Amino acid sequence: MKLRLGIIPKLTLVFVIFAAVLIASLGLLVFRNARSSLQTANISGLLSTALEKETALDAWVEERQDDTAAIAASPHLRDEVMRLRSAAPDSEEARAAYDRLVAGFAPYVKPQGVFLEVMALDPETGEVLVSTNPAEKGKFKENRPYFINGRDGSYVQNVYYSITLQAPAMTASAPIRSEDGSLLAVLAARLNLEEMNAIIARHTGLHQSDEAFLVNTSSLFVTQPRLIPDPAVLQRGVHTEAVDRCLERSSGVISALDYRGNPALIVYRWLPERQLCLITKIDQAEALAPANALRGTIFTVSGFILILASVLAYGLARSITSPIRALQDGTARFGRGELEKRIPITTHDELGKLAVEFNAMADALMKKEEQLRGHAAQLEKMVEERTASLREKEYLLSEAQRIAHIGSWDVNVADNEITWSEETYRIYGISPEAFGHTTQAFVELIHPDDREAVQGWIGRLLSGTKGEQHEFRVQLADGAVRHIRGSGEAILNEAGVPVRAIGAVQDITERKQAEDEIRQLNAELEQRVAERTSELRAANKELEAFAYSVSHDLRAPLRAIDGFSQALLSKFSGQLGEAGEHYLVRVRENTRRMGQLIDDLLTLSRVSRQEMSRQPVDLMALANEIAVILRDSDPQRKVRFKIAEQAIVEGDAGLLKVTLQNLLENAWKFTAPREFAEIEVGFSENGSERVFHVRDNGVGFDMQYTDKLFGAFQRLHSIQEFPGTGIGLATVQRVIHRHGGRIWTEAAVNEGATFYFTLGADS
Amino acid sequence: MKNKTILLVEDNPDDQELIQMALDESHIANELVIVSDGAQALDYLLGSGKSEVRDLVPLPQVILLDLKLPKVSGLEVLRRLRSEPRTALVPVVILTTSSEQEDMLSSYALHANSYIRKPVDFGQFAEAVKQLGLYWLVLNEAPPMK
Repeated sequence: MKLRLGIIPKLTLVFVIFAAVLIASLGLLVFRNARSSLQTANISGLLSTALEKETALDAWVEERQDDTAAIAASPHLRDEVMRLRSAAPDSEEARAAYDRLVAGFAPYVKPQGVFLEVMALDPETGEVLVSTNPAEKGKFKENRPYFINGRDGSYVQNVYYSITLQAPAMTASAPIRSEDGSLLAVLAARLNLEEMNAIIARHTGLHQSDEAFLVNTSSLFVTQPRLIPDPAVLQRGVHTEAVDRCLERSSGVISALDYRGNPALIVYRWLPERQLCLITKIDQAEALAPANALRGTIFTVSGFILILASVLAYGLARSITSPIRALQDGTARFGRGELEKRIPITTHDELGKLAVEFNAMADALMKKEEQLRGHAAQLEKMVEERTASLREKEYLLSEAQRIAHIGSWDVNVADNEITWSEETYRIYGISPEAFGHTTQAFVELIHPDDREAVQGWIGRLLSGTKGEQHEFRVQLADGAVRHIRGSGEAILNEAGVPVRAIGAVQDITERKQAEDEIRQLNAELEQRVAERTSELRAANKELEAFAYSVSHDLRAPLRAIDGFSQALLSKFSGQLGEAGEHYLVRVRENTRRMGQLIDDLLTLSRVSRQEMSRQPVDLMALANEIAVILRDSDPQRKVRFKIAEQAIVEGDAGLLKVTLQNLLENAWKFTAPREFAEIEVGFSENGSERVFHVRDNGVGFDMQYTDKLFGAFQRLHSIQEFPGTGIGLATVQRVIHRHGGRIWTEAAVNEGATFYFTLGADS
Repeated sequence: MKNKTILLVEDNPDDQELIQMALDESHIANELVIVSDGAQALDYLLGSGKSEVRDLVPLPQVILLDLKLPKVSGLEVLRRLRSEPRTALVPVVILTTSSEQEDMLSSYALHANSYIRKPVDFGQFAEAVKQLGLYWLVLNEAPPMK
């Protein structure tokens, strides 16, 4: 974990760590130096002790050797030995000599002397001739080194284990010679090892644990170790590293475990002349005690210094960081919202500048904050308005659903979970608590007869079919049946698997009922229409029959009248007289007019009932055909036809021809008084409509009668002026109307007339 | 030529007389046989019914047939004539007052040879009959008779 520390702890820590490292390094150095010096001093001490002991030992041995030699050289003792030897054994003389010798040796033996025992040995056999220890007398020491070597000169046998004494022993020897130099006996003096012990064990008093002892080649203690007072230890072997090394006849210093198992600083010296190992040692604990004491001191002092350093560092850090803290505190309080907080500028260094910058930033921020607060207020207001509008919309949507009887649904395909809007529940007549929210629960609401179809629809919807609406019925709990129209779409994932389906349901019960009513009404209406149609058809048939009769039966008598009048005129001309002939001519004239009337009526009737067959017709081509016929009917007349090039319309060719015929015949007729007649047929585009016109420069008419113009049998001129039946324009209007067009005129008396017409959108 | 007759099927006696008059004025001397309804016309031509005496009359040079006839209509007469092998090729001129397109189309569909509308004006009527006689009795070669 990363430590998060303030500047003060950081600074302090850095100071303290620095101080600690410094102090530790120094302390360690001092300690090591001290210990090293101490070790050297200790070793020196031990070495000098060892040397001193060695010297003392040598001096002691030499002294005892000299003592022995001195005893051996004593003339008195020499004489006595001679006497003893020369006297017969067990003789008086011998005993006397023996006693004198014992007495003579006695001053050398303890407690007066330094030796434990002094004896004289037979130089040939090694038999103890005389001894201060009477028990030894008569024993043979012929194989002892001190005997063997003592025959030739002064000798000291180094420490050996005396079987007799059951203790370490050391014996000096010297020959006792006569004046002529012949060997009389060998003097042997057993050294008092207590003295050696004292020398070696002599305590310097400088230390508690220092000691010195001797070990012989058999690894046995020769001197009593100071720290183990039990004398039994001397019979024990000692095997430490120092002893082992020393017994390999070497000398040195070693830091190792001593015979007690304590760590110790040990100086060992091999004493070749004595064939002994001298060990001087001191316990490490004591040897290094000053160093350890020093270490303690160093620790104490270091701790003290560290505490001091920490306090100092803390103080320093505080003094350094106080502007920073002020800055930090200011920032924190600023951050908590105390925007009016400013930082006192106490220094003019970087921190001071920082404080100035901070204050500037704080000012800027305060301004921004105020602006933001303004914006926020505005935003809040907007959000409130939006929320209100959203709620309003939600309310409207819900109300709209309720009013329109349209509910929405949403199926989560994976979970088979259905979500409905309020209105959907109303439509299905079930409460949200009672509804199971699954497809199965939904299907159960459906009218049993419609279930299969609805499941089929749902299947198609989920397979991605779009735009299919399905009508079905639901059976409400009270048994009523409602008609529903459902629509929906599946939402497929990338793999084409439906994940969701949404849609709407509409209650179309009322509409269904209305539709049923309408269907019924329609059926009735159709029935009525069919009846009317057949009635009309019958009427039409009658009309046709009437027209047929008119054309046949009205014309036949006319023809008879005309025919027989003609017969009268031709066959009885002389007998009729002028008046009779005139009357017959008038009869014939009227029959002709009546025939014309009948024909025109028939035409009018035909254009009204004839079935129209629409096809492309060029009106201008038709006009040209009619113009040719008119010209041929009266080639004398000077008439100028001005006909536009082409005007193709959709219409009934026969009816349109009747129309143009009537209009052009009229123009032809009413321009008759003009010397130069002009008849123009053309058209113009008026928006999407094409307006045709037939214009003449004939006699024209007064526009106040224009409403009478298109009525049947209406005439604006006398028969004498212009012949006609008054049916032509009625026929024209009928045809134009049947084409869905309009007809109107512009005219003035003596200034010609223009007939305009259109043929409706389909034409 | 003389023995060639004209059969007029016409119920109106005025028209019968006027046609006779027009033929006379045109100096057409062929015998004009007149029957006044469709049934008589069929009897005359096909020899069935009560006209057994004229069972084997020679076929007329031309038949002038009105459409509006009592008993059997002109169009029915025409249809029957055209369906009989004996009369199938006899020239038939429809002579009628009707100017109905339907009548015209039906007539031609039943293989009428001509369709003439009787004009009201006798002059025109006489001219038409004259032309008709000239054409069918003089200019036209009748189909060979068996």
